[in-house]
Amino acid sequence: MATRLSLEGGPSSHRLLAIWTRIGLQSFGGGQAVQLYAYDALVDDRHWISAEGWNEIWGMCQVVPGMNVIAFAALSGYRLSGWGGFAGSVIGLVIPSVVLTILVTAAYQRVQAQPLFRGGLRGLVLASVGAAFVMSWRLIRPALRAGRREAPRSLVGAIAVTVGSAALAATGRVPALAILLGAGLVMAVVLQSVGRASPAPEDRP
Amino acid sequence: MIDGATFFWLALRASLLSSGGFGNLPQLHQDLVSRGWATDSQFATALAIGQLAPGPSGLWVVALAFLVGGLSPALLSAVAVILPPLLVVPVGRVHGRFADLPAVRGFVRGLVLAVAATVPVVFLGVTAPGFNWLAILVIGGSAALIASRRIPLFVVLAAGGLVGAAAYR
Repeated sequence: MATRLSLEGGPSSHRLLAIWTRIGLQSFGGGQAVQLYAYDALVDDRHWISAEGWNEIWGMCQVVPGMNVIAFAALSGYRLSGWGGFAGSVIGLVIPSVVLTILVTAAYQRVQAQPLFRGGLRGLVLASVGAAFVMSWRLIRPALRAGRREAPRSLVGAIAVTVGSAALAATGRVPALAILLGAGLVMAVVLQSVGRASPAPEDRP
Repeated sequence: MIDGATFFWLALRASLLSSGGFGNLPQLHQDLVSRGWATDSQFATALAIGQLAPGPSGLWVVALAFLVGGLSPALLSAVAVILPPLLVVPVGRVHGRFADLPAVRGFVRGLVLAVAATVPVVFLGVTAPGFNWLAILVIGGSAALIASRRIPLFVVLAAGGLVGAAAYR
C-alpha cells in the first residue's frame, strides 16, 4: 500500500523548485550524488519524507523506464505538493542540468583540439568505464542473491540472462531492445514458474 | 544530415525500454552509428561529459545530440529522455496491485540484468580504440576505488581525467 504523504503543510512548488535546483547543481557524479543530496534535503533536513516513504518511492522508480532520479523527483514532488510539486521538482532537477550539460559540451568543442583536454577527457572516459562495471555489479548482485533465496532455476536464469545479454551485445548483431525485451520475458517466465511472491530485493538502491 | 524528429523518436524509443541513465546506450549506439549520425568517439565524449556535468548522468544523451547536431537535437533529446521516467506518477497509482506479481518482478529483474550486462560491453566498445596497459590500469583502478565506496565518484572521475591529461597529451 502506498505511503501517503500529507499535502497539508507540505512545501510549495516554488520551494521544491529551489531545492531540486540546488540538488541538481550540487550533484557531481550522476544519479548516486543526486540521491545523496536529495536524501539529505528531503528526509534528514526537513523530514518531509520518512525513511520508509523514501524506500517506497524509490522502489517504484525502479519499475519505470529511464532515469530513476527524475522519476524520484517527479513522484516525491507529486506526493508532497500535487502537480505543482511534480512540475517544480522535475523542472528544478532537469532544466539547470540540461543547460549546464549543453554549456560543458560547447566548451569542450572549443578546446577539444588541445591535447591536454583530449587526454583529460580520455582519462575521464576510462574512469567512467570502471564506474560502469561497478554500477553493473551493484545491479547484478542483488538479483543473484534473490535468485539464490528463491530457487535454483531463478539463480540459473539470472546468470544465463546476464551472460547471454552480454554475449549478444558483444556480437553487435542483435538489436539492443530485443535483448532487453527477451531478458525481461525470460525472467518473467522463470519467476512465474517459481511463483513465490517475496519483495523484490533488487528494487532498492 | 540529422533529422530532428527521427532523432527524437530514436532517443525516446531507446529510453522507453531501458532502465537507469545508461540503459538506452546500447540501442541508441546501434541506431545512430548504423545511420552514420554519430561515431564511437562522439559517444565516448558524450558519456564522459554526462558524468562530468552536474545532475543526472543520463543527460549524456543531450551532450551527444549537441555534439552531432547542435542545439535543436540537444533540446529534443532532453525531452525524449525526461518523458519516460515521468510515467512513475501513473505507475505509482497501480503499483501496489501489480508490483508483487511474480511475472512483473521477473520482467523488471530481467530488464535490469540485461541493462547491467550490455552497458559495460558498449562502454568498452566505444573506448576500445587506442587501448593500452595504462587504459586497463585506469579502468581497473577506478573500478576498485569506486567499489570501495571510500572516495566520492566525482573525485575518482576527476583523478582519471588528470591521469589522462598527463599521459595522453
